[in-house]
Amino acid sequence: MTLASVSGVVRDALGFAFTVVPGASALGDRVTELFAELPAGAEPKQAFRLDELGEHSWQRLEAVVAQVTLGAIAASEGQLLCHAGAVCRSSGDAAVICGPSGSGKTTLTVRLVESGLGYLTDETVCLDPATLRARPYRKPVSVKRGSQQLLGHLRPRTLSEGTWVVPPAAFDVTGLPNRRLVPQLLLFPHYTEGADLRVEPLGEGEAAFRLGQNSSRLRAVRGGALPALARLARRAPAYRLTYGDVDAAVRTVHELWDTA
Amino acid sequence: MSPEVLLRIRPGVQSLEIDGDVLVYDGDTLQLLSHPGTLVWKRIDGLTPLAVIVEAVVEAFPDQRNAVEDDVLRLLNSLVMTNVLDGLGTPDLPALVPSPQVGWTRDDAVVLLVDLRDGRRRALTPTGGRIWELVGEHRTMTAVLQALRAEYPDVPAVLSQQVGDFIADLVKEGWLERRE
Repeated sequence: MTLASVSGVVRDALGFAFTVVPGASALGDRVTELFAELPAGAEPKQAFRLDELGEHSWQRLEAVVAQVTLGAIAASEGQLLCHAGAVCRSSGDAAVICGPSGSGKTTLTVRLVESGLGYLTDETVCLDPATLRARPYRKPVSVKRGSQQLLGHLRPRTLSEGTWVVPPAAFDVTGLPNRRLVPQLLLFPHYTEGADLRVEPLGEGEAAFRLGQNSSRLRAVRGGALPALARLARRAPAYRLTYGDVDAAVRTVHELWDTA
Repeated sequence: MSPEVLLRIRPGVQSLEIDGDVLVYDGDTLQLLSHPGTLVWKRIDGLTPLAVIVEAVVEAFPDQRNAVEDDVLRLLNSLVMTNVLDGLGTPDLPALVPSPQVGWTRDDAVVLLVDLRDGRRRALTPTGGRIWELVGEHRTMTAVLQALRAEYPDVPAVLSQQVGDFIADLVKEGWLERRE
């Protein structure tokens, strides 16, 4: 049995072609919906068998999303891969929302998309190190426990244990423009419940450093990681954004972007 | 670390200056050096001993000498511990000798260097000539600085930096070389 024969739907995650085999699991339609925003792939490199990915259905969804992302990162050899969310305007200008887990990047990304921006990703921003052009990775959003109170409207009707796995269609009504997508704004969020909004401009060195700290496989970046990080930091103004009120943060990001 | 240890950036370590800061990447860890760390980084050339680097940076902060000295030593220790820098561990100037093809003579206040292979010449200022002689006596950098301060009361505050640059220049041009 070839991989291509195990399922009718092959998706492409940043060059990683995969398919998902529901097996005895009843998750087939759900998985199809989750990955519907990824482009169609050709010959799959991997088939994920949901039956083998965990004891409970919700664990299986989490696991398959995580493994697809790992496959996407592995397939993007030579690219600059920032652990970040990203949104874009109709002009193609993009904002990269970068930070470690728990910093509030998924919450901010989703709410920015709901305010009218396009969804690029909530997890891995893939940039060509020479052109800085961003490649969309419209994966399902993973809403972890810490964000679920703020994004309660995205709670799935079923399988709402653990991390919520939410398809982009649930919150992105704008879609992506048919334009070249290039970062023009860098945001480093820091969510703290009840915190006053604080915006601190970052120097180019600090921005490049923070981007690098939150990137994968720096060693493999084509042409060297440091020139790519520096080019990105020089191109786009960067801010550290401390927030406790998501609506205020969203308004502020739009204002920053208007003046960038 | 010994004050006379020579520090060298390990092969394979990449660095890039951006907006006054320096990004350093060793293949595993990314570090950001900000002022005065950038001043430290620029002086690490495999020829300048630790004491001279520290003194050169401290001289730029006359009001905060002790604090800056502590910071610089902590930074250099950290860079060695994280394998960004090598401590070569040999005394500096005694390891340098005039290159075998170089002849030199003192003409009053001026020291003249000649490359016997191609006739290339370089005339050293009185202070430069004195440094040349002190290096030839296998003095340590600390001893060279002490001698210059004693002999030239009007030496600039950034003496160590200038002496370090001068000696590095003599090595680069081939007038001095490392003793095997």
